[in-house]
Amino acid sequence: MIDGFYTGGWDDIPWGAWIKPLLIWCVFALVLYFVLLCICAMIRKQWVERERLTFRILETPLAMAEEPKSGYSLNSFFRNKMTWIGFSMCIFC
Amino acid sequence: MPLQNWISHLMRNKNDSSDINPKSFTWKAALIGAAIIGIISYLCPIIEQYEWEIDYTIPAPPVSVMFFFFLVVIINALLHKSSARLSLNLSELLLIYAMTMVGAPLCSFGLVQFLIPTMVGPIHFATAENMRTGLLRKHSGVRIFCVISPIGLVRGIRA
Repeated sequence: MIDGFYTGGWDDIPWGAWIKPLLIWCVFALVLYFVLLCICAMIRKQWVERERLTFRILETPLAMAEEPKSGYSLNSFFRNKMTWIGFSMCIFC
Repeated sequence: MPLQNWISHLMRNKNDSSDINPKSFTWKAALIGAAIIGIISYLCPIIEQYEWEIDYTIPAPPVSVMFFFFLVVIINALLHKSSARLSLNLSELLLIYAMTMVGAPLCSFGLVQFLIPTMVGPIHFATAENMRTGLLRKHSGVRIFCVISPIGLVRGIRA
């Protein structure tokens, strides 16, 4: 199967060879996320109630998904010129 | 809306009036999230392994998730003008974001450089000041699993 990666000899994906590693990785991913959920359950109170973390990783999507004010079709995040300047820089530069 | 207010909204009684729809899981949002995960899973190995152009999912937050969420929100805003029934509400959008955020690191280097190290973060940064040491001490099995004990560290240095 490795030869096919170098020589390009595969017409179709050899699912027979992939199925075992895929299943093992699926089990690994499920166990990984279960462990992460358990750690979240352990430290949730500490982070949310005592340290009152702001969870910056959620600030941006919340700002993006915010309901627009009446009379506007876009919210303040998308009406900000800096948003579009930054977006344009990423896309076109 | 500040995040603390949003968490307070979620913790309220469901009968309480709230501007966030309590029914956050809908099949429409789940299908869109699954489709985005499929696209990211296809693009990530090409960009990271073949093109070697950018770290597509390694930085936090993952660039790919933010980019696709940006597109979804823009399309949703346009859709909301034409048909409010078909558009997604805030809870559905956040479900899509959470799904893609969970799924994106699995198909890239983000799995080993970002996701797995996250597990030991709370324990690694535990100090007496933030009082996480006391919090985690009662879960001694996790502590032993996640960090090197001082005795093990000394043994490693001597070896």
